[in-house]
Amino acid sequence: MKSPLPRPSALIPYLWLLLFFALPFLMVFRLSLSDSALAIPPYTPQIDWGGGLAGLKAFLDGLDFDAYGRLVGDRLYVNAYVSSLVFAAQGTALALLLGYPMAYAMARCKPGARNLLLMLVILPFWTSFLIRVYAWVGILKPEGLLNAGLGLLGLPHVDLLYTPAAVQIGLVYSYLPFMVLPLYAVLEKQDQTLLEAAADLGSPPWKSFWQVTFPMSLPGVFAGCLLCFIPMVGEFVIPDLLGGPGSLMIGRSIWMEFFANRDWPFASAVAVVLLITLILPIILYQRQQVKALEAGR
Amino acid sequence: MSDQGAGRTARGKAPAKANGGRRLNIGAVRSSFAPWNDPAASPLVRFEGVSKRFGDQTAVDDVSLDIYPGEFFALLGPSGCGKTTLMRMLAGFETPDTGRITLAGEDLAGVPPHRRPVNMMFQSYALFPHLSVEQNIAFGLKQEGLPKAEISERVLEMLDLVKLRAFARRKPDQLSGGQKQRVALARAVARKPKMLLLDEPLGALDKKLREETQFELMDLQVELGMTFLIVTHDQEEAMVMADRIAVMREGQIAQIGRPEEVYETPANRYVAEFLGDVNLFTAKVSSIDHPMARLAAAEAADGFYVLDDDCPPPGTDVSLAVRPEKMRISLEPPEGDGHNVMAGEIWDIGYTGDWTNYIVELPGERLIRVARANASRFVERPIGWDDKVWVSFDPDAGVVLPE
Repeated sequence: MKSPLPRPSALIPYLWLLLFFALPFLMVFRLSLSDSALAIPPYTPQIDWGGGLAGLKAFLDGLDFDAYGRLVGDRLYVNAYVSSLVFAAQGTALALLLGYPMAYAMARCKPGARNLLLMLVILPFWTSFLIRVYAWVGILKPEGLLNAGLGLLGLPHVDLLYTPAAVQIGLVYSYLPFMVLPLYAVLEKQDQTLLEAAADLGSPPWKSFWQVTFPMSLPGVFAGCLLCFIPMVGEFVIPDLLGGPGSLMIGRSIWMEFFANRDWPFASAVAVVLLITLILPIILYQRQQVKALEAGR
Repeated sequence: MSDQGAGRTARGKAPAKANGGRRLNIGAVRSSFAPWNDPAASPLVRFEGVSKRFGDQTAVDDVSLDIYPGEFFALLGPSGCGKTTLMRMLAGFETPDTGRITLAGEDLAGVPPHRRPVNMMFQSYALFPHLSVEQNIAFGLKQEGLPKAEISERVLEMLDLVKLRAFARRKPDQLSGGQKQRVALARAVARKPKMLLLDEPLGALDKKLREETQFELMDLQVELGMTFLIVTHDQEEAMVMADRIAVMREGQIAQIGRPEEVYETPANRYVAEFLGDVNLFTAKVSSIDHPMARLAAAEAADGFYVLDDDCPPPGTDVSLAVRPEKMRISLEPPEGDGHNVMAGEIWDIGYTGDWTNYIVELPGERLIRVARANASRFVERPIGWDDKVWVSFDPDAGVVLPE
């Protein structure tokens, strides 16, 4: 017996996707095909619902790919995309380098200590993201905490605020939990007998790490990297608050186009291209999740 | 209680020597291999006064033990008796608090697990899930830095040994329990260790497969000429496979001996009760008239008559142990001198096909167990519930144990 229709509960995810992903995306996509106008809302054409088929045709005729043409023609935006991807890739790599030892140490702690440490990793989420990024302004500014500390140690001052380094610090700081949590989840599950087996078969502890622990944690590495990389590419608060003119990121450009320039169609075009850029890593992440689910079954 | 003697016959037969000084042919003696009786033989592994505590728990308590090259040695005991800890100390995963462990004369103290020339087959198998069957088997060989060609040749050899060549590229979770067990075995012997440690190797297998695997392991041990140390809580497993068994209790060794020795001449009540079923009678030695001893006991009006092996002097409190299968049961009083005969009533009957276990109630609500092989398919008058029966045993069936 095969049931031709899925159970109603199976439709919920599709409904969810339709409401919160497909519909907004279509709206943004339609915006990106419009032209900027001095009006409220600031774009044309509008659908003339009273005009019938002729009105709809007029609307469709009004749509064009001009915004995309401008986007491709403008070196600034191409550079912003590239620099966003570079920022995100570097930030992800740094988060992995910092997060792996953290997650590894947490997973090797006693169960009681583990829960406490896990709490501490999640704790920053209790405060507003914006405030936490602002706090970094206070730390990194020329007369800030960092330089005060360096001064106490007799070290020279560093001028980090409004540099690409400050953006990188902000990115790594903000997204580190998204790296640590999936890594911790895979490392904590790992059977310690496997390390004993590796030792028994002649592998010294450091080699066992590279031969057993690390390869077995790859699903977590993968998940953590994508969970950091995808939002990092589109990040706009951090470059806006901590970055200077040199730290160009595409999320910030979208924000500027929407709210400073009020060029909604162009901003939408930038956003659509960003989404397309991220589709590949998102698909990779989805497949990884499905594989992990199947392996856990 | 099926055929405990069905094991190997490859090493010929020799009469066993019971520890009482009298030469007895006990049980099914299978082998003349007995380096532990040869003063010139040097052990492969020697535990000397080894103790290990975990917190306030003593896991291993002053254990001394020799295991000889080529031996199949079993550590047998209930869970928590320290057998696994003893094995893990040999593998290097635990450090003894006191005492010394030597392997081929070399003190193992301070030698990390990855430098010890022993390999272990883990109870959970501990196969690397991210590696294929052949990569799992090659793991140990890779650590030695052997040339690639040599590794793959040896891996094929091992795959053939455990008949898994067709599964070389599978991942462990694509294998059945029995196949995983064989991969674990192949991986552990691939490095040709001086000694193979097996931690409850058959625990996860079903009964039929377990029996088959027992014989496979024995054949393999002879084929490889390797020394095997097995940890198990299953007495049948230990009896079938091992040359010698150390029965452990609360971190100490209760008795070491060949399977037939520990079964037929248990050193104490614990060993007698742990291995198989036994009827224990509280008794007092009343007289010794070599070669017989007479024991006074509540169950026997004129006392029990047994051989005086290891019998303490008259007046001593002892236990008399008699195995159920060494007792006879009949509906009529047995003929003979009337010694060692008890009258009772059938209390319960357990029929297992090959054997029938009778629980007989003696006067004073004392229950004893008698096992009878169902040697013929039909009997004239079967023994039924509430029948009045006579239970008897021969003088050499009982073992006198210190109380």
